[in-house]
Amino acid sequence: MLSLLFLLACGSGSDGPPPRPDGTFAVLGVEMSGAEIDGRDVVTGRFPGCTWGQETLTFGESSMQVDLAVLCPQQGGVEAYGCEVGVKAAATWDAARGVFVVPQAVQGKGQFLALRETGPPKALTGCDYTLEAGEWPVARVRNGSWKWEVRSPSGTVHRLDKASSEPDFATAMLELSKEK
Amino acid sequence: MLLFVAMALAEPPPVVAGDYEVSTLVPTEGADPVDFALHMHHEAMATGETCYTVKRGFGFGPVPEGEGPHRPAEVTMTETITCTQGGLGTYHAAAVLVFAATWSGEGQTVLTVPGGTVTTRMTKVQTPRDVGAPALWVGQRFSHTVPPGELAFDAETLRRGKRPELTLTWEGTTYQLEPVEDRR
Repeated sequence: MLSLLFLLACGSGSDGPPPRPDGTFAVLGVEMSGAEIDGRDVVTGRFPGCTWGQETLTFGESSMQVDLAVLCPQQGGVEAYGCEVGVKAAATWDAARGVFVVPQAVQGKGQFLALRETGPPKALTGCDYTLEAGEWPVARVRNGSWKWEVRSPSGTVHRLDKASSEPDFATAMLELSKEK
Repeated sequence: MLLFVAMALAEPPPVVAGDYEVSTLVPTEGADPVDFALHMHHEAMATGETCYTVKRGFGFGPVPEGEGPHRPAEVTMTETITCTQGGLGTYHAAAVLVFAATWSGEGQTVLTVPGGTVTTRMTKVQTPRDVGAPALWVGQRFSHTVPPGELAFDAETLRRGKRPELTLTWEGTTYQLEPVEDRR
């Protein structure tokens, strides 16, 4: 379905390429291997043991940034660590085709260790993301209200909506507590 | 532009591999080298920063068998800070960037990196028993930016069977890089 919307929005029947998206967008869903997966599940699927996740994309005039946030419970779920990583790479906007181009891939990682007076350091949390090199075509689709979609160079379609990149770990923790 | 320039013009190392850490730096031209971690600590004390850099590392991948020549296809650049904060205790945070490596120049000693930024932060969330609202301890957001540019290096000394130390300069500062396993 997402692919169809994407093709309709980008095809010859549309009114030309979309304007350049500006600002930060949350990934609501991802279409991969023919199935649509909730954006949160896509993130947690990459980090075993983590139960909540968020991915946002930020488009600038000459850059593209992806921010991930994951919440990973410990000690029976009473305590959790949130890990955030943002990766920013140079990108150009091809206005004629409605495509962001990332010339070179950039991988970013965040790793956290607790230093203890006795014993070796304890790993607290860590997370990573690789911003793929290549073309990221953008589409703006009308489905009740205007939404954005972007297709990664590896072919996954990300359904986007305007949002903040700040993760709300407190609400996520509350939701997890209620789900138990 | 990020520019590393070799200061000691020894012959280029046949093998560039393994992990390196900055051991000393020369903050201004002609000054004596100072311990990197100590220098960063003093700088943080002067500016009142509660988190400060303790380690700057370069990863060139696994060390191959044989004597080379070898240049890795990927380079890792890591900035590690230490922080002490109520609720989180004392912790180390590492921000790591991994780039495809392009080698050029005579002896393949110039490494070009595309540049990028990684930002990271840790948050501890706790739900005390019988209390509804979770408590949050939010760590400091930490960014590590490497501008696009060239890294040119040379070996300080070549010792058979051992990875050489490297000397680099970056925007007027000279860094000494030591192989990690030689320091531990």
